[in-house]
Amino acid sequence: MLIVSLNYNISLGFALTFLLGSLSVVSIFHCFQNLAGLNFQVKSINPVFAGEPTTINVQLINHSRTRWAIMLSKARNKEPNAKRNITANETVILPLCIEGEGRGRHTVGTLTLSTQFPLGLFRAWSPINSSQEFLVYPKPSKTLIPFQYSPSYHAQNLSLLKTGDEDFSGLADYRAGDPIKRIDWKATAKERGVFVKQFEEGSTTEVTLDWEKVPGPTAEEKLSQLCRQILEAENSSIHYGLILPGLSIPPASGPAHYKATLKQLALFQS
Amino acid sequence: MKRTVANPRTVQWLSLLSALVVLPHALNLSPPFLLFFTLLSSWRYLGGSKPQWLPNRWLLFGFTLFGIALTFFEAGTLFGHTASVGLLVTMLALKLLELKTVRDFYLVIFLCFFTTLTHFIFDQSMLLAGYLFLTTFALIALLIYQNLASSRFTDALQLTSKLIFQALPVMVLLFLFFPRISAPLWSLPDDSSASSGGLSPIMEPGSIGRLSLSGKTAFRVTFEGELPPPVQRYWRSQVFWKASDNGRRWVLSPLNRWQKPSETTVSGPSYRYSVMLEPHQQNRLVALDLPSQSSYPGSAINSDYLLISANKISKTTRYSVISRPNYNTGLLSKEERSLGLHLPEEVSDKISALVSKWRSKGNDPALIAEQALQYFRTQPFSYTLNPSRLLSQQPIDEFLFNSQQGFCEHYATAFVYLMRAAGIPARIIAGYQGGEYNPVGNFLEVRQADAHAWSEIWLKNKGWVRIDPTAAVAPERVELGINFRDQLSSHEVRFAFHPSSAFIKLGLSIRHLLNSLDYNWQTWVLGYSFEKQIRFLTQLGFSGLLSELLWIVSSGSLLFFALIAFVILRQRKKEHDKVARLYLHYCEKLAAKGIKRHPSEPASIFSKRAIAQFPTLEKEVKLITETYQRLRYEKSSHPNDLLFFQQMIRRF
Repeated sequence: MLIVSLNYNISLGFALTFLLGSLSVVSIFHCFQNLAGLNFQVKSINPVFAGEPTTINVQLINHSRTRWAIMLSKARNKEPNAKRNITANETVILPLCIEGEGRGRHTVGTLTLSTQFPLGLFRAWSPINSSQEFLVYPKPSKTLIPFQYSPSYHAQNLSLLKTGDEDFSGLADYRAGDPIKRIDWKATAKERGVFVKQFEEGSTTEVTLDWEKVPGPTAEEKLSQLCRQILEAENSSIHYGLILPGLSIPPASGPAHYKATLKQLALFQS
Repeated sequence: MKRTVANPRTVQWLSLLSALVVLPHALNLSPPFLLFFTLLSSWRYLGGSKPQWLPNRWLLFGFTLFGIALTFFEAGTLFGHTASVGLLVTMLALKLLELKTVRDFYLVIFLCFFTTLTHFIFDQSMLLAGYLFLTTFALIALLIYQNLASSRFTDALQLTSKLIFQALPVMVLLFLFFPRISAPLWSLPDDSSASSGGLSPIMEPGSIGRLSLSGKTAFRVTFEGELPPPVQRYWRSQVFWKASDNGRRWVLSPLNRWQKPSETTVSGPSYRYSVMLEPHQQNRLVALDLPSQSSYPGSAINSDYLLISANKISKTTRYSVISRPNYNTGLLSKEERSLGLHLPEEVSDKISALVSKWRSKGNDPALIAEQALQYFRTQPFSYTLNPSRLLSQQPIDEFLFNSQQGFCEHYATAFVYLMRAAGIPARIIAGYQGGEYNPVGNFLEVRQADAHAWSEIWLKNKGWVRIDPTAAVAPERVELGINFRDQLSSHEVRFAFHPSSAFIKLGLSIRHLLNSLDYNWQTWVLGYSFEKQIRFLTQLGFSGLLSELLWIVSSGSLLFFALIAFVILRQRKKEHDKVARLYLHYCEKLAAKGIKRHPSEPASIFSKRAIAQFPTLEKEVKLITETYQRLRYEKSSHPNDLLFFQQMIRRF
């Protein structure tokens, strides 16, 4: 544009060229200012199973004016997530999905916060170093090998999922107000009428998931199977214990127990 | 980033905007280009909401070939202004159609900016500049909008104004000081030097009459000092020597254009002035009778006392001239004498009779000329823009004895013809006469309507003498000029134009104001050239060397950018300072209680000391110190922290 203006000595051409030129230089400052002084904090990260994407939440705290189109990416040259504006004195959480890490404990390491505001000609970026750790559980095995039951376990119970802390006792006619979850849909489908499964308070089943008793050629496959079993047991509200080489967790149930057992699987070193 | 898909809404906006950017080219490009562009950009617009309708790669390739072929057939070449612009517009349309990624988006925006630039090759009027400023503004806003995340468009507009405002100082600096060059680097074949008005190189009855209805500005003049009186405002531009077709057609001098004038003696006042000449694609410049010196590079005054330039005037040009209205051109060369007496055919009996009647009273050329003028005055000649056409074989006879109505060129040609028949060397001068004084801008504005033809005869002791036979018939033409607006409506000439009503006066002053605005625009914005830049620099006290220019540009730009950086980046520091100031305030409060902080004492140690002295304040001191440290040194402080800190210290 400058050359054309020079050649034909077009005054307005010069004006346009210089306007665009100095605009782009001014945009450099705006680009820098847009990112400078933004505070961040990497939030704690929910564990995932191997092969699933991990979501890292970065909290951004803006003490000053509106920040435009802030982007977060894993590394400087990686594709960033969606742009996000942060208004003055606002705190937002930017999620970043990173693709499947292997089993174990990982640290977030370096993320990149960047912006191309205002013209998209320049990019300002800032590395975010975080020592925040997250766990990746083993990948649950696709095939479930039946549990090694404790003596008090009733075999037929396994076929019923999500039954709560009771045992199945039979079917009863549906009455308004009965939970939909307990409707015997199979019976309904066969047009036998609407029945509701009934459960009895009864003996709590217990199972011990033992490293030694799980078949598998490699340690990873064993862990994968154990993981699947823990999932099943937690879903069926069975009390389960875990025995790994040099470690034993007594049978229990509930989210805390579930997390504790999976954590051991994630961190297991054979 | 490169693969990110552009937002379809933004792309729709872009296709609309690019159509607006191309729109003024409707005057420069042929309809097929515009049709092609309109088709493709509206296709793109529809494709914004229905992506499946967009053409595939093969179709696009076909369009590209078609576009190139179109350019070639429409412009006859692929080079030259019109062809290049046509090609650019075609390519813009094609790129728009295949726009997918953000990268394409940037490219199209750049092409739009470039198209904006090409408008200025054809026209740089204020109106167009204003329009294109708006489209440029919108393009920048769109670019910003593309880079904002889910915002309102008003945010983008606001940011654009801010950015442009900050960019302006450097733009002005670069505009003033960026080195210009005086000659083009290259030139494309000038394919459309279409007739842009002005005097034609052949004089025929009616050729000036057409111009007289044109209100276009021919040139503007700024005088240093006094203006010459209206009767001396003869702007010389062409000299016609050679007659053909019984005096119907007159052509320019066959003499060497660059021949030096003969010995000329001048006396009386001199006028210094600068002329801003509108482009007319010819080599001639205009000057007041009689130019003696000119500043325009490559220009010269030739033997016809015309100011001529080495190159064609293809853009608005400014030059300064010194003219002396009292002159004696001295002797006549042999060549000039034979040309000045040349008549193509035998003079008719009627004319010879008339001329011999005049000669019988004495052989003094001045006397004969006086009698010829007397003839015009006493016979029922009238001055009109709409004379009956002279169709006979003897046009001069028909005019002199039958129709007796005509325009300046009729009178000038007839007079010269008569003089030559009487054996007096004579020639026709074409140029402009008069001009309207603009009191707002203090300049004289000469329009195409002021085009005029007069004659010169050669007298022994005086040299070439200007005689305006039109003045004999209609002296008002010379005194007041033509009111061309009236001519347009009635085709009748009314000379006396006196602003009578207040309304007309208002109209006149508005016109003056607009013209003055346009004149300043021409002078200061468009006319800012290499020469002007050097003059401006010398006025500032620089020598105008290229290295100096570059030095000013670079250091000045750096300075401005540093200033802008300071303004933009200052806000960050302010916040930091606020925390420090608040902490200082807290230290002062403690000092009032009797414990002073040493300048180098860390906040934590100071707080321990304070707690030891005032155990009752332990909780507050601890909290303040912790918040202070967090605000000051930690990256992850909460927005509320500052507010909290402020309140705590106030209460402390």
